[in-house]
Amino acid sequence: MNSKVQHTKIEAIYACVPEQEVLTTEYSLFASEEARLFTKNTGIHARRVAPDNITCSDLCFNAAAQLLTDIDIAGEIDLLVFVSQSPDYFLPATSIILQDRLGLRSDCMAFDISLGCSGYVYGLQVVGQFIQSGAVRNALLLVGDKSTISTAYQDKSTFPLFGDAGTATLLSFSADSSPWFINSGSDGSGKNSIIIEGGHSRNPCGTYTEELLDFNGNKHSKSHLHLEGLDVFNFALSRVPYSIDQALSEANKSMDDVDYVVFHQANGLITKSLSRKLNIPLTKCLTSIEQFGNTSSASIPLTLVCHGNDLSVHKDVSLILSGFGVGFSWASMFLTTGFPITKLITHA
Amino acid sequence: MEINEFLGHLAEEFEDLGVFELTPSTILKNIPGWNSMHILLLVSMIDYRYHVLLSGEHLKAVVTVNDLFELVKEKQGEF
Repeated sequence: MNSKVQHTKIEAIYACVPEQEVLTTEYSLFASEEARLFTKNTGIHARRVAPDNITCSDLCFNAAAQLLTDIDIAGEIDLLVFVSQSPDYFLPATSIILQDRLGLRSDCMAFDISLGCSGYVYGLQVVGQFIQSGAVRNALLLVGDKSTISTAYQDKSTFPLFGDAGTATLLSFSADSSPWFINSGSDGSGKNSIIIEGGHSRNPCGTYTEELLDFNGNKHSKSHLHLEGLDVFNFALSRVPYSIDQALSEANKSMDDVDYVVFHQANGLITKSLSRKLNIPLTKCLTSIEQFGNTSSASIPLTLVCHGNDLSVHKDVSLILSGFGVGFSWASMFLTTGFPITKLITHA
Repeated sequence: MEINEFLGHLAEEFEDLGVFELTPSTILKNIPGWNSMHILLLVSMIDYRYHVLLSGEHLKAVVTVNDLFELVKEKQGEF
């Protein structure tokens, strides 16, 4: 579907990553040549891994707490949305826990959205709808994942790919901000291409063993993330270009009007393939995968933060943000905006 | 679409082949260092050069470079 969001401004984006950096070359299942080829094709040199006692919500909390300290707006937040597929508990919703931890008002609405790599653009869209309706003046969108908790060491298709990150985006009503144009969609027939089968209602804990199963040499249990790389690749190449074309068409713009594109940082090969399919110079495609790996739902805001210093010199930038992945689910957005305040912090 | 042009495009993707020579009868799995990443490289190249997006199902019966070439030709004819 196509939609439009008006009167909403992205004021600030903060990102928090764990302190521990793990290099691709440190993965013992890769021979040195294999590690070199992996880095060459995925772009991933390093990623950040959260220790056992740090959750995604801790990373988002740190990002949000620093943002609220710097901007001093905690008392005026009307809505908190947490987008993640690694919540703290089955219940209650992590957003409500974060409302309390951040000291937000109790009449602040808070809810979770369970989406992965498309989640940041979905989150912007949902929060933007509340703001343009007039119901909400200021909102926090907390987006991130601790994907490393669900990857199996013996699975080369996932373990060296994912990193952990949490982000906080402050959105506010702004009468004169340019509208956002968004295309979004879903295709549940791709559910088995990125899935953690065990541990929830369909396959509750205790109804299956933690035995490692073999998938073409990669081994993981039902509690681990399963990823069919070729399916995801095909999905991305078939859906994302159309989605971006739709967002641009709704905005009455062309790719020539776009300064920068931020794709979900799935891997370098997907970014390269999408850029050449859409005829976008790679110099226009902002990335963060080199230092942080695939950070799932956090990858788009983390990438914006990584380039914040360079982009903040522009009065306005026109951006395409395009998230796609687990579900399958996708969303692409065109916006022109003054570049928000950004900050990258490390969770010690 | 010619086989020699197709071989050239494949060789560009596998730039780490060294002295290994790609021919129509080359078995894909025998390409040095072959792994799942190579399949993505192939699919990306074929989508970009020949506007054919191949799925895992399409590739199940592909063994040699020539099998792949014929599959792409067949898929091009479907459009």
